Amino acid sequence: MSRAVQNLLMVLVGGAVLWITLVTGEVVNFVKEGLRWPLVASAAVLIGLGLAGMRRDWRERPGEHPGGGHGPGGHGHGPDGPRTAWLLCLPVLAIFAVAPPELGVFTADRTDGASTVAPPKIPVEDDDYALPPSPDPYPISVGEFMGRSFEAQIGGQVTLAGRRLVLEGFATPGKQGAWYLTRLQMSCCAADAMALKVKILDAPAPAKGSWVRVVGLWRPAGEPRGSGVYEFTAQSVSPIDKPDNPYE
Amino acid sequence: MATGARGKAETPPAEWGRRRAEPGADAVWWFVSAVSLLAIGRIWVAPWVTWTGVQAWSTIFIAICVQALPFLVFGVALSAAITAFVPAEVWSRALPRRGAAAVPVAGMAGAVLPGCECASVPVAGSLMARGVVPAAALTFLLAAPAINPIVMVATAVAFPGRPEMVAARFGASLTVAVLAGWVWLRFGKGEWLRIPDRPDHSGGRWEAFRVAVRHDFLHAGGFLVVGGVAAATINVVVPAAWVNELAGVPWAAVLTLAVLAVLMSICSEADAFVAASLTAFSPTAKLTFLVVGPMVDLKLIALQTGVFGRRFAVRFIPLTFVLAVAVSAVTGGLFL
Repeated sequence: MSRAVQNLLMVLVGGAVLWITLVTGEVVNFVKEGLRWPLVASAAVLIGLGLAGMRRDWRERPGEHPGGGHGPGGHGHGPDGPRTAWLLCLPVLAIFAVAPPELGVFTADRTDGASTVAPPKIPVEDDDYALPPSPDPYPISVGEFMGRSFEAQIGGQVTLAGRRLVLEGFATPGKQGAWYLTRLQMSCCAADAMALKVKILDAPAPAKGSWVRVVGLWRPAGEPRGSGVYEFTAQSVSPIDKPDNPYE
Repeated sequence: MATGARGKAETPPAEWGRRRAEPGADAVWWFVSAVSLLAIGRIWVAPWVTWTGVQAWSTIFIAICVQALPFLVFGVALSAAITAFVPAEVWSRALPRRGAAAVPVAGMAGAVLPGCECASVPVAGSLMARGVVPAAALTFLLAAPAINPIVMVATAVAFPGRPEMVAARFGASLTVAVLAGWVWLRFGKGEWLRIPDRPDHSGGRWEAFRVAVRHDFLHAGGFLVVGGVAAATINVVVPAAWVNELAGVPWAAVLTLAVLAVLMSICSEADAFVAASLTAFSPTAKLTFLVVGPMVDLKLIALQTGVFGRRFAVRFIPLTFVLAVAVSAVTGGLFL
């Protein structure tokens, strides 16, 4: 790999990152919002160094200064730079040629078997678990709904009873016409996304993968049945646009 | 692109000679073709790619690469800055003369100084060339990429709400590095190790920095892509039931991820994100992945063989691997 290509590759990788962070905003399909500016900064470093290298190569005739700059030999590649670097073309190509959307039904179906993991913890600001009195209906994240539901099932505080709630997510089909409101939760990036599913009762299933807002009531599990029972009685189901950040 | 150029057998050497005379024109040519290729991809290919499996694979693959990129860039930049601007004499003066004491100090030095794996091998070589006890230099070689601050931050980001993962990684990696150093001090023979000549820094320091960043980034970036491809494939292609079954057997899970760490050769600044994506595996198995990866992997085997010689590599690498797996299993069993 010649120095010109090495410099070009750095500029291309940096450019692809600027494209998804600043131009299309696709970055939220892959990672958390907070990583946007660190990404822009590292893209700027890559582009800056790549351009500096190009400028230098442009001015100098090749062969006048040593190419490698790395330590004693035996590095698995010649002075012309590492061959593995060609692989960096792959993510750049994937960003432009595939332009993949956020994870959805496919991943939700796949992670189905692994849903035995403990439900997410309730984000508690203080000791008071009670939901704030307004607004009504109260918008709640799928993760928090499951956390509070789990809390009630294992004999803890009951905080959802009788309260009208709003859940947002995409529809995934279950068995015998049942369907789930699903949201993918990522702890770090899309690679570790885990499906959170709430069974919706008393409403016909929307199209698979379509985004919906469901207003309704928490349905308590009859007796303490351990984890894994998250049910919601729908009063209304309305289609919505995909939210800016598709993950929780 | 490379095959296209190679395929034209009739392209005379004169053609290459002409291009070499004008490197700028070469760069412009590459740039224009690369950008047009990407634009074509965006306009004509992207709308046709709809198969959900391919899309999910691409999303996960890009997610790992993108998530790791800032850590990789700043890690590489810092380690290049240290290589270019801090003379190796500083370290040899800071280390105790006695080997047994120098080993743990060298291990702790790894906790302070960010060093990429690729950089740490030549740095350890230059430490030895400047008179540092080889065992201490080897401990530094193992510790610097494994427990430096950037790696610790990356691990904390990859495992939010799991500070014990960060602590376990730090403790286990430092233990392995120090143990390996002591074992080498006690049983290692001087003739196994080929101490390299001092590398020369020609050109200015800024130039050395720029070239080091470019080299390390491209090198580590290539291996990050390998890791991203493997993790995305495990996530999307390999049936979830198989992964769960394998991950359900504790010793099999630990060994599998240990071997995967060796094969994937991901840079230590990026590997935590790959580990976190292997959701089916136990924390102990993930810890093994994180401890083994920065110390033993394909690119390090190649590097160590190249810098220190075969007779060194065939002894030191198995020693490190066994220590890393054993210490991770014990640490994971006790704390995770």
